[in-house]
Amino acid sequence: MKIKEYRNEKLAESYSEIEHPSGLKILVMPKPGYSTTYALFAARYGSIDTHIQAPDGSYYEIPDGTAHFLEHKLFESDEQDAFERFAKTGASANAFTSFDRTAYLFSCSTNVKQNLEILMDFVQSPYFTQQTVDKEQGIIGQEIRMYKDSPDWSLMINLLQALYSNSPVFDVAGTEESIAKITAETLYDCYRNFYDLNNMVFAVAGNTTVEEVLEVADRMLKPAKGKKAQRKLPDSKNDIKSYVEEKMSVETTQFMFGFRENNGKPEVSTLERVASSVILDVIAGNASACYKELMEEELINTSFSYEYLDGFGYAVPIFVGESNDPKLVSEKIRKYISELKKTGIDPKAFERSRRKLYGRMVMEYNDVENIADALVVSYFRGEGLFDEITVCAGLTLEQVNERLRAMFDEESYSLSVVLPKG
Amino acid sequence: MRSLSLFALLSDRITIDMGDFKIVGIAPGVRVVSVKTDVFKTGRIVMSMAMPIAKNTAAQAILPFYLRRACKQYPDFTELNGRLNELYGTRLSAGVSKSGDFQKLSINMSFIDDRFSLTDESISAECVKLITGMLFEPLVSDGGFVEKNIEQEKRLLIEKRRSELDDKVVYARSRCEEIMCADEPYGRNVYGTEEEILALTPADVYETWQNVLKESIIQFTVISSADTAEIENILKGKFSGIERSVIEKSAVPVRNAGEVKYVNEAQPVKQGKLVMGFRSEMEKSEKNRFKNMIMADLFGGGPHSKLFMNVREKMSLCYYCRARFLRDNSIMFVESGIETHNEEKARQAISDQLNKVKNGDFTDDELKASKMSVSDSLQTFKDTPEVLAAWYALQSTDESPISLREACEGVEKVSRQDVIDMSRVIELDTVYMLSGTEGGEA
Repeated sequence: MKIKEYRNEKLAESYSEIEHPSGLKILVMPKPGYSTTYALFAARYGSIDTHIQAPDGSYYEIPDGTAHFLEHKLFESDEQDAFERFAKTGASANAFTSFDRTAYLFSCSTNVKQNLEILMDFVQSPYFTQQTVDKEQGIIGQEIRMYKDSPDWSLMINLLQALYSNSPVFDVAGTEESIAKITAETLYDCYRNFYDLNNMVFAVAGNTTVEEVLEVADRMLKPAKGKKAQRKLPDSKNDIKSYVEEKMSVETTQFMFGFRENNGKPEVSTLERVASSVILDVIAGNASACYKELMEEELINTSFSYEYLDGFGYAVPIFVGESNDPKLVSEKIRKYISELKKTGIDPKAFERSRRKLYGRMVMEYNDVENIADALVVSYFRGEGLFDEITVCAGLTLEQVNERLRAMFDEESYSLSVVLPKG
Repeated sequence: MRSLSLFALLSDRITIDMGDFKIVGIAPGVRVVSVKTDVFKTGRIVMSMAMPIAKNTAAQAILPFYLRRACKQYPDFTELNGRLNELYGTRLSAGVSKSGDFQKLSINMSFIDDRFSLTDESISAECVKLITGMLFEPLVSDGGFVEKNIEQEKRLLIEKRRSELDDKVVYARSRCEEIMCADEPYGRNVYGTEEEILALTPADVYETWQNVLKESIIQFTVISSADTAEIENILKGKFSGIERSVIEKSAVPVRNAGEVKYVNEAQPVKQGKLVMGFRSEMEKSEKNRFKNMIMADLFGGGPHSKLFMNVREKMSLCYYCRARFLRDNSIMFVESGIETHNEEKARQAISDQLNKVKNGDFTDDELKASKMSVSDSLQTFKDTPEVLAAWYALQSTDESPISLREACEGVEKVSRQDVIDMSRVIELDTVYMLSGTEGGEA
């Protein structure tokens, strides 16, 4: 068993990466002085994974929303379900599915070993029957309806679909029609393909030790049989709708404005991601000239913000907010970006935004939930946990200006708007 | 039990070390509650000012936002935000909430600990100066607040209010509060009405600021590795020049549930939202916070609760169905997102589950699961500076705050009979249903 330790002296933090003989990668970051232990057992399987690779190398399709449906059903068992087991330990257990991963988790301050045992056990013990699958249709149906009434959710899905050829993969929960096609057999197929330990990671942060985690892992992990699941690259057609709108029962007009990056590779690098966040803050942070102008012209309010969203097969710088005139806001931002590409970034503005990002990254290390999730995300990306903060500490103006020129394809953009009905 | 009358003590500037935290009296009704710890990467300061909800709601609501926007030292918000960025992305936010009959105004700050700065500058000292400056040295012109800024903040507050109500979960809860508490301060929107916000003048808000300095119950909650002497000295200096006459903490009158109020409204949404408001007895609510905490958790807390196990898991009626108990108002809300045509079924199911609690129809395992879950969560609160600060800030109008450890001890003592007793005084007061007219074809 190989154990490697990673340290960051400035942060005064370290974590261990363990190659467990079962095939599972285990990441542990002990936090002295903490009572909480937070653990995540995650599969590299999210809503973007719409195909399973058959033995002959071809791909066959699975219904949209299956990853999320499986997440709900994995808690079930022919004996006691996982929630009932956690009820006996006092832990808070939960799970989530995103575009590119599914994660099962608990947070606790006592009974750590017992909780680790339950988490490792139930995630490795699928139990699906047609009856329990049918029962879940109603619950997830209500979850989907709740999302469909949420303007934030609609804005995001509509934007990503407009940028990526109307792809359904961003609608994590699927639709009531697509989930109706899911059977117990579908779930077993997906489980076998994506829940191989070689395709997963286990991350723990907080009140724990490597020894404690390994003691449970050695007992509980069954050797993996398969391999890392092959991800099918999404359609690379550059088919973009520059404007999409939806009318909803709201009083406020909201918008999300984003650019599709076309860099010819499935994932961006650490440097590209960190530089992008600094650039977005220079452009639209609350200390920027652009923010001030939009605010004084009453085109935005304090809800205005930005985000750099990236994963396997997608990379989108996003501006989001509320406005009476989203089109004008998006035009002004585009104009601002095009000017900035000509002039380059002001060194003072760069330094302010770099420091802000650095401080915000330091803050993330307070919270064991953030740490465990960051361990998972960086592992699936093939990066180390400290890579981003190391890059940020050494980031230069030249690197950022170079990134700025490549980051925005001024023709590949879309504006998504949610308008009041009637 | 402690028998300290802290508000009385505070004028004597007494320091009390409670083990987990320290309380320092600054002036009548003004105190600093602090936890000294070096396990975090950041420090956290929450400045809470409590005023009655009754009059002046909008002027009080806008105040923390005006103060956060700019100050004498940084008159322009771009300049202020730029300075916060230089201070390694210091987070500064304003907020308003309500609890009991109080409206609580707050300004919150999180900043990285000096150990993690890339330069020699002391971030914490600078942040203490900044946040106290916001309260005592706001931006003024001609002896009043700046009209242009007040006008901007009025627009922003109205838009914030609308935007929050665009979330149908928030909207339905807020409507149920309005209907249920129509005759009491808590029934008011925390920001006041749009008309009230629109009518505000710079003079109103300036006067409110002066009243807040004189009358409000003020607590600075500080979680930091640094000594709190600096902030205490600044505050003592500032408050020595203010003649304080602190508002009385009015006892919220007992408001028993009468005939059940029912309101059903329709909107073009896909999911219906059901909110049921229950009342307990005020005296029982104040004296028995842990008993009520466990009762509400067993009934409608996590996945081990009655509502989750039955209304969601057995009946597949919803994705969420949960209960929240408001100690300061002696009110319990149950919320669920359902198919509109299932309203009757869901109401019945929720009532059935509450009756089971009232009749003691729950196992010792269920009780144990609730106690363990609540106590486990409470212990995790201390591992995030924001949550730990919020724990103490929420108690800013209590005579003496209690620590998380004391809360866990309190939870531990709750018995089966306590849960039954607490649930038996719970009565349904109001049912609010937001019906979705687009339910058929999602």
